[in-house]
Amino acid sequence: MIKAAGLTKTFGDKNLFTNLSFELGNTGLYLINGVSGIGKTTLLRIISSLETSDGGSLEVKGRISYIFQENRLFPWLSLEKNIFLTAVSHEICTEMLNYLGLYKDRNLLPAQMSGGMQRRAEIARAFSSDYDIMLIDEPYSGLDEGNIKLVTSLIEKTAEEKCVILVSHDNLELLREPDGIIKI
Amino acid sequence: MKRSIADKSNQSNRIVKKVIPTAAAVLFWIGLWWFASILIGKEVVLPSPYKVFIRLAQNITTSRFWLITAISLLRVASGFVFALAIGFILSLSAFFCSPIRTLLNPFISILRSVPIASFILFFYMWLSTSNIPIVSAFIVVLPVVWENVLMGLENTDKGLIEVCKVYKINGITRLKILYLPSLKPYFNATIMSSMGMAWKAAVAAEVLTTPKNSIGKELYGAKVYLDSVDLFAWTAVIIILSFMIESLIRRRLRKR
Repeated sequence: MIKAAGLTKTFGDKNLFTNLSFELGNTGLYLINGVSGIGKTTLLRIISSLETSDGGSLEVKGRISYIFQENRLFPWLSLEKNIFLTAVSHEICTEMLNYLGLYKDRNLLPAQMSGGMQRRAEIARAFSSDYDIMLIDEPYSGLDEGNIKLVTSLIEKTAEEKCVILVSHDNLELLREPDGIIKI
Repeated sequence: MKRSIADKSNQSNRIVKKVIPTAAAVLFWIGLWWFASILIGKEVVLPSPYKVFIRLAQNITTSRFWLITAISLLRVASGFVFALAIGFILSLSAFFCSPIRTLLNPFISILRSVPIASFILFFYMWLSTSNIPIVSAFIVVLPVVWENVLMGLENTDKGLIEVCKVYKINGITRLKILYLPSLKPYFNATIMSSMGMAWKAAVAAEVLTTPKNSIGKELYGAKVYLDSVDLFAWTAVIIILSFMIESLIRRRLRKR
C-alpha cells in the first residue's frame, strides 16, 4: 500500500532524513520513531502529498485521512458540521460523536469548545471519513485518561482493517505491539 | 425577566459609553462652527449653523428635495453595488487564475492612481451625464474591493486549506466552506470603508457634469450664485445620508 525507496528531505541546511526506505501493508499499526525535530511530521506530510521529498520515490495507494498535530477545525462550522464535512455518512458521524462523548455538544462552535473537545472532534473527523490509510500525529495531546483509552482502542481496532501510521511521544505503552516501526 | 434587565443595562451602558460622547463631540464641532461664523460675520464665507439648519428644514418640505436626494442616492448605490459585485468576481478569478491577475493588475493600478476628475472629464465625452456619477463611484470602489478580497483570499488559513487537500474538498464546496467565510471580515471592511468614497466620487462627478436632479448640480448652483447657506445645507444632506447608510450597513453586518 505504501512503498518508499530512498526518501530524502532537507530543510535549508538541515538534513531531516536521507535514504529512508520502508514498505507498509494494507492493514496494521506502524510507528514512526525518532528524536524530536527529526522529521516525523514531515514524513506524514510527504505521505499525504502535502509536501514533496527532495529525493527518492514514494508510492501511496489508497485514500488518506489525517489527524493533524494541531487541531484544524473550521471555526465557523459547528462540531457536527466539521465532522460531517468529511464523513462517509451521517450514521458514522453520529456514531463517532457518541463514541467520543461529543454528541450533546454537537452544535457548539470550535471556539466554544475546550482544547480536549477540539482534539476529540479532530479525531472524530478523521475516523468518520472514507479512508484506507490513517495518518495520526500526536493524537493524545490535551486528552484525559478516559479519552486516551477510547482513542487507543479506536486506533487498534482500525489497524485491524486499515493501515495506521502513528507519530506519538506519549502513551505508547498503552498501545499493542506495532506491526512495524519506521525509524528515522 | 433577568434577560430584559440585562438588555436594559446593556442599552444604558451603550448610551453612556458611546452615544453621549459622540453627541458631545458633534455638538462641540457645531459650536466651533457657530463661533467661527460669528467671528467672521460674513454669510457668504461661513454661514451660521442655525441658518443652514433652517434652509435644510425648508428644503426637506419640498418634493423636489426628495426627488433629487433619491436619484443621487440611487446613482451612488448603483456604482457601489456594481463595484462590489464585479470586484468580487474579478478578485476571485484573479486569485484562482494568475494570468487574469497579471492582466488586471495594471488596469487596477490605473484606476487607483489616476485622479477621479480625469476619469469624469474623460467620460464626459462618452457617457450621458446621469451615468457618469455611477461610473465614478464604481471606479473608486473597485480597487478597494480588489485589494481587500485578494488579501482575504491570500490570508485564508493554510492549515484549513491542507484539510481540504487531504479530504479532497474542492470546487464550490471548498469555496463555500473555506474561502467565503474567510473573506467575510475583509469584505465587510471593504463595504464600510468604501461607502464614503463612493459618495465623494459620485457627488464630485455630479458637480462637474451637473446631471438633472442631482445633489451635485445643487452644489454647483449654490457655488455659482454664492449661496453658501444652500451649499452647506446640501453638504449636510450628504453627510447625514452617508452616516445613515453607514449605520444601517454596520447594523446589518453585525446581525449576520
